Amino acid sequence: MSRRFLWIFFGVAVAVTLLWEFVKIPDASNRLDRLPIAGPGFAARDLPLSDLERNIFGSARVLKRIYRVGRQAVVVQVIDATHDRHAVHDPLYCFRGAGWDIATEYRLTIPGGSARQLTLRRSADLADAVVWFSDGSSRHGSAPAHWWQTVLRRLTCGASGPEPVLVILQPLQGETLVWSDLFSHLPLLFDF
Amino acid sequence: MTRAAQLPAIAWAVLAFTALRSTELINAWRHSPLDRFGWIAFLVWLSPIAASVAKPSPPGFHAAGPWLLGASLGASLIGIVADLNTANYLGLAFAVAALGGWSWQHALWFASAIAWMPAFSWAGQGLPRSAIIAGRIVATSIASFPLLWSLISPKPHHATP
Repeated sequence: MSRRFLWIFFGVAVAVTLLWEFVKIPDASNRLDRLPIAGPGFAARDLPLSDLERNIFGSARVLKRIYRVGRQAVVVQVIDATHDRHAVHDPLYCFRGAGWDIATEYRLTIPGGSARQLTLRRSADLADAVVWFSDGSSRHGSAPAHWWQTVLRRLTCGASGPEPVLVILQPLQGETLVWSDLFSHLPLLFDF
Repeated sequence: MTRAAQLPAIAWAVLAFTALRSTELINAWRHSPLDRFGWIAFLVWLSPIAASVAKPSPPGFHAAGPWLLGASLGASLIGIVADLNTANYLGLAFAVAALGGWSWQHALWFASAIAWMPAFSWAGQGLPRSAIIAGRIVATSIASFPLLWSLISPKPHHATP
C-alpha cells in the first residue's frame, strides 16, 4: 500500500467525516409527540431530567413522564437517540453501571412483540422495571437487535426503517405494579 | 534519530485523526462506572509503542505499517458512517499499532486493546465492577509488559569469529 494511496484514503475519511455532519436521518419526534399527556382514565405530567441524565442523554430526545391511572402510577421514559446514538445502551448495562444487580429477568409479551421485565437489587433495595425497544410497530427487548437496527439505519441513511426508541417503565420508589393491569389501562404505551 | 522522528507524516496524521474520532473514550472513562480506570489499561497498552518510538531507527515504516494505517482508516470510516464508537476505537488501535513493529507478540498486544474499550465492560457486565477493572489492567499488562521488556532490554552481543 503506497503512501500516496494512504493520503488519498485519509482525505476520503476526512471528507466523509465532514459530509456526514450534514446527513440527517428522520427521528422519532412525530411518534413521541403522539403520546398524550391526558385522556380518559389517566393523567400525566412531565418530569425534569437531572444533570446526570442530561449529561448521559446528550442531544437525544428524552420524554420522562409520570402517568397516573386510578391508584397506579408509572414513570415512563422514552429515549429517541436518532441524534445521539450513544445515548442508548443495553438497559441492563446501564442499570448495572448504576450499581444495581439484575435479580430476575423475564420475557413479557406485549402488543407488537415482547419486553424485558426486570427486578433490580442494590443492597437492601429492590426495584422493578420493564424495558423494550419500539420502532412504532414492532417491539422487542433485545439490545443486540437494537444495535443492529440503528447501525443499519445509519448505513442506509434511514431507509431501513423507523428509529427504534427505548422505553423504560418503572413504578414509583417503594411501590409495585401489576404490569398486565397497567397495560390494559394505558394502551397508549403501544401507540408509538 | 528516534523512530518518532523517522516515521512518515501520514502515520501521525492518521493517529491524530483517529484520536479525534475517539474522544468519547474520555467521557466513558470519566462518567461510566463500569469503564472507570480504563485509562490505566490504555496507558499500560501504550507503553510498548512509547518505548518503540523513542528508540533510534532508520527512516520509514516497517512492512506492516501501511496496511495497519489502511485498516485504521477503514475502521474509522465504518465508525463515521455507522456512528459506531467501537469501530472508531479500533481505528485508533490500528493507528497506534502502525507506529511500532509487527510480530506475533505485537498481535497479542494488539488484541488486548479490547481491554481499554467500553466493549470490554459490556461483555463482562455480569461481573463485579472490581473484576472488570482488574481484568482490564491484567489483560493489558500480560500482553504489553513482555513486549515492552523485549524492546527495552539490551540485546546480547554475538561474538564474531
